[in-house]
Amino acid sequence: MRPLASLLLCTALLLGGPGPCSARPSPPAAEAQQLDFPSKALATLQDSLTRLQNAHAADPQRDQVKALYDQAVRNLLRLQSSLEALRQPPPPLDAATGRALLDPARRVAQEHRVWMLNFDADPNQLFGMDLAPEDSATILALRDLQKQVYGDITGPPAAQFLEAKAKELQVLARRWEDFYTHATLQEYPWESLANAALDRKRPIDAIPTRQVKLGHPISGVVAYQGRSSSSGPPLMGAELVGLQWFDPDRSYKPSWGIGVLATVKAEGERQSGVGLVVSYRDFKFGARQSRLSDGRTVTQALISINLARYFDFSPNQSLVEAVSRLKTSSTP
Amino acid sequence: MPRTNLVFFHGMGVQDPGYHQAVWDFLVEKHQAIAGSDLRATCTPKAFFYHDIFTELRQAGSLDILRPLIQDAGALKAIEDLQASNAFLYTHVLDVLAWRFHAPTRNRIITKLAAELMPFIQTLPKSPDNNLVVVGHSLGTAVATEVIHYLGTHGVSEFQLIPAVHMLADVAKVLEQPEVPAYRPPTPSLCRPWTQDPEDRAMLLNYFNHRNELDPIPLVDRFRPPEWPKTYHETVFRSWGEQVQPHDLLTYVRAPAVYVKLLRSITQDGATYSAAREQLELQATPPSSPLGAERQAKFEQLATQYEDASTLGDFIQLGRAFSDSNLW
Repeated sequence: MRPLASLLLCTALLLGGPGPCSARPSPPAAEAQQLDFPSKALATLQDSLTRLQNAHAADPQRDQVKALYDQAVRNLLRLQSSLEALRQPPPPLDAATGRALLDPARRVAQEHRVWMLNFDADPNQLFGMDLAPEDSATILALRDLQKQVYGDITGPPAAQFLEAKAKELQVLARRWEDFYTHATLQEYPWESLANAALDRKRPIDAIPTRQVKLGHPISGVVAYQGRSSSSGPPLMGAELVGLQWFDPDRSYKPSWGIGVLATVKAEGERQSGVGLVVSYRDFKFGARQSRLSDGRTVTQALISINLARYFDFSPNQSLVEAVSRLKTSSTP
Repeated sequence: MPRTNLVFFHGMGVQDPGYHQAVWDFLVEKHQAIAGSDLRATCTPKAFFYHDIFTELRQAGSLDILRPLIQDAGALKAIEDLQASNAFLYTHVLDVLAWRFHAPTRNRIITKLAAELMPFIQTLPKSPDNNLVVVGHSLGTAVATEVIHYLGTHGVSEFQLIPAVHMLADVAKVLEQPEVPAYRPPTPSLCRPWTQDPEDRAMLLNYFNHRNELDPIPLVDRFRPPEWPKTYHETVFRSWGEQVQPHDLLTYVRAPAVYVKLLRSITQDGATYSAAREQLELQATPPSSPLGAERQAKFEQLATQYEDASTLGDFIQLGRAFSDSNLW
């Protein structure tokens, strides 16, 4: 797209129009070749059109191929108007899409499909040539013209557009690979069920950046519980329901997440606890409330095993002790 | 003389790295016999692979992952029966179900193959002599349908058509996605022939659909498009023998009606590979050896039984019935 946009701007410059290219000195050789494209293509087209008209005028079977000839001329004139537009100053950009309104370069490239060779059982099927006598001079001229238009006029811009598309597709393919490796393989089957149900109607190019968590097992340790100095054993539980975001800029590795937590009943508790858990990358922080056997309610701060390891944190310590140990060990 | 890239999309199950070699050798040999020149000078075969992605899923215990995703009770029951029977088909069918129901796996395959197919499409506008022929077989037809549709939805169809796609044992309909119906009106899938309307975003110039009448796979919910342009070509043939696998890729290509059309697409030579040539080839092919009376009766019975079947569960059951009856 960009090369074509610059091509349009530079064409405008050559024709005396304003544009960002005006600051540049003479363009390099390859660019100069590009700048000639509309003029050269128009000359080729005009040449081919004249030859076709002459061939048709001298064709003894011209009545039989008239409809075909008219159709080809209509196509040529449409292409000619697109090429003429390429020599004009660039059209305004659409604010929403950032694309040029009625972008003539795009129109020339789109014409490419019209000029593709149609090779069916009958090789003359192009433009319905199967209805026409094979030895007609008009048909022979049309065949030459088709090859010339396809190769010299519509081919180059179509190739440029496809090159840009190929780059987009490669990036998308790599992103899906990352998503599959880092996001979906961490899911449990029942989570896949929920996510597949939610994703089912998405277009396949919209790679999800968020997945649902459902009954996702989690383990952690109690880091702090009120004023009590004692801390409980490691806790097992599950995120009943939650959301996990993935970071496309980090190959779809987990970024933030949030979930409702339920933990299994720990020793000395009357019932299992509930709480909230927030995750960031590999680490999880949470708060949990449960009721002890004597009826008191206890609120505990939780961290994941990963984070506990990071702190060199053994399950029998409180967070305060762990942090103070960390401070002591880091003091010279 | 066109320079052709011939791309293969394989079918179900684990594939040999040279799965397309026998077909390629056959085409080279036929071209030498008919046109008197070496096909290898102008055509390059390329085999695409995606079975490794299914293998990863299988190693992770695919049925356990897939079970909750299979939103089709009939298909789930059929696959569980198949697992219990320990039939060789189980792994193959599991791939089909993974393709149909596991969106991340499907999307990963589609994007991988789309990125691989794109360079071949890119070569087309560079010269009028460049040509591309895509051959899909079995599950590969569904994969090719989705890959081509994906390329179409990403704007490729605005600038370029794929000259020819050959679908052998087309299952694109029975495995179609809810959001990408293979052809049901108003034909939202872009893997269909172009109507020559400048606004039409179809991806193909020619669509060839080849079906072996004796192959059970394309029997259920057959690919029968409504009004398509005349660049849609359908071939139905019969090939059979005591030792012939009716669903095999090579079985399909060995049918004269298939290889003549395939070579016509590759060489873009409608004079050498004309309809008259196809008739000649057909007459020169030795008649297929008949089935035994008992197997023939069984085949007729199954074909009648599943004639109007249209579900994925039926598709799996039919495959199993053929396997159990030793028709496969």
